[in-house]
Amino acid sequence: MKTNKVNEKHLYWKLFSSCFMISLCTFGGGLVIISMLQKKFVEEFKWISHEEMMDLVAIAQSCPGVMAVNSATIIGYHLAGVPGAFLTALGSILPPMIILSVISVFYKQFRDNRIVALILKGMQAGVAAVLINLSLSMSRTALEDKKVLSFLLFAVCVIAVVFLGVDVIYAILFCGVAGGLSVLYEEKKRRAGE
Amino acid sequence: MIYLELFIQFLLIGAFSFGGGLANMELIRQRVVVQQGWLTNSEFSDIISISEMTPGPLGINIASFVGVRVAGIPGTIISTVSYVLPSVFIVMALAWFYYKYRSLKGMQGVLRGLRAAIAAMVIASAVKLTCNAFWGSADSFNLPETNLIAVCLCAVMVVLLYKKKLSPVQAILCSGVIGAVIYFVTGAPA
Repeated sequence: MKTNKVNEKHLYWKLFSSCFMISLCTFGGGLVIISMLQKKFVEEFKWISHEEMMDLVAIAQSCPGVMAVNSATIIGYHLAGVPGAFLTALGSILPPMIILSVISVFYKQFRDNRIVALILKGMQAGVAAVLINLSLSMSRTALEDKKVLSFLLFAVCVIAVVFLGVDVIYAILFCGVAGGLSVLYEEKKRRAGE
Repeated sequence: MIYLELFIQFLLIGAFSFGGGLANMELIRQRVVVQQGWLTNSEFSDIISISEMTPGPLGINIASFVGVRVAGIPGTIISTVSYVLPSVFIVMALAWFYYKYRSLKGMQGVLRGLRAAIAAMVIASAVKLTCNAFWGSADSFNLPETNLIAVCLCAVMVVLLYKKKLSPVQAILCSGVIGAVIYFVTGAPA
């Protein structure tokens, strides 16, 4: 797909620098970054229409990996092909890479400070709480369609991953195949019914 | 060789990171803490706290931090780049497919099925990191040695997250500050 709609002189630089700045200044990731990308590329540069942006985000959400990076990558690809995709991906990952490298230099001295160590110890309870809360909402999402298949997959995965310590990659492969097959099956049934 | 190991592990993590952000912590923890032993569960929990509080997407922050902790600057470059590499290619392939057929129906079915695996993944990381916060180890339930301060903090935060819609960053920050004060006053070991 070569759209070449944008004949800006500094297209590559603008793509890279926008993604770099957005990644540098955004806390929270995910949807926050997508709304920033939208502001930049749809509203400010007007390179992408609102409808196109919706499609692009839908594709980004269907891929593995970090949604914010995926969205930036697909915008780059859409506007400037494969080089654009790599540039926007690079722009998005550079700031965190630099920031965390700097932080990790101080992490050791930081960790030896008693107050910091106590704060981090307190935070472990907070991280646990965040994950417990997320478990509740994710479980509800996984079971909300009230289908037998969803309950079965959920039960099998929880037993395998939580209690038996099975590698989550197998659970992901298993569920992905099951989900794909169930769509094929429904489609076939629907066609047969017509 | 450590660089090759980092590359392979993060390539796998990147290729299977469905669900985004905190949902993938178990995928990373299994590889980095359990299989490779690069970090302890406590260090991993610290990395989540720090990554939540620095700009940029959580997954990238975690990959960068693990890389630099394990193998310095070259490590962080390898882990972060290999983490996003699979998705860059998959995004382009899916975009090409989408513009050709105007449909992602099969993919949507796959994603619906994946919800179960993602939920299981989050539950596993919740169980392991809660055990670590309460008992100092991900695999022990030594009841007399329960860290009651952590239990109370965690319970309060779960209620606040659930009822008051506190954001994850706020919850982690609050429990850090309140926890530090209580631990300091009671003279708990760091």
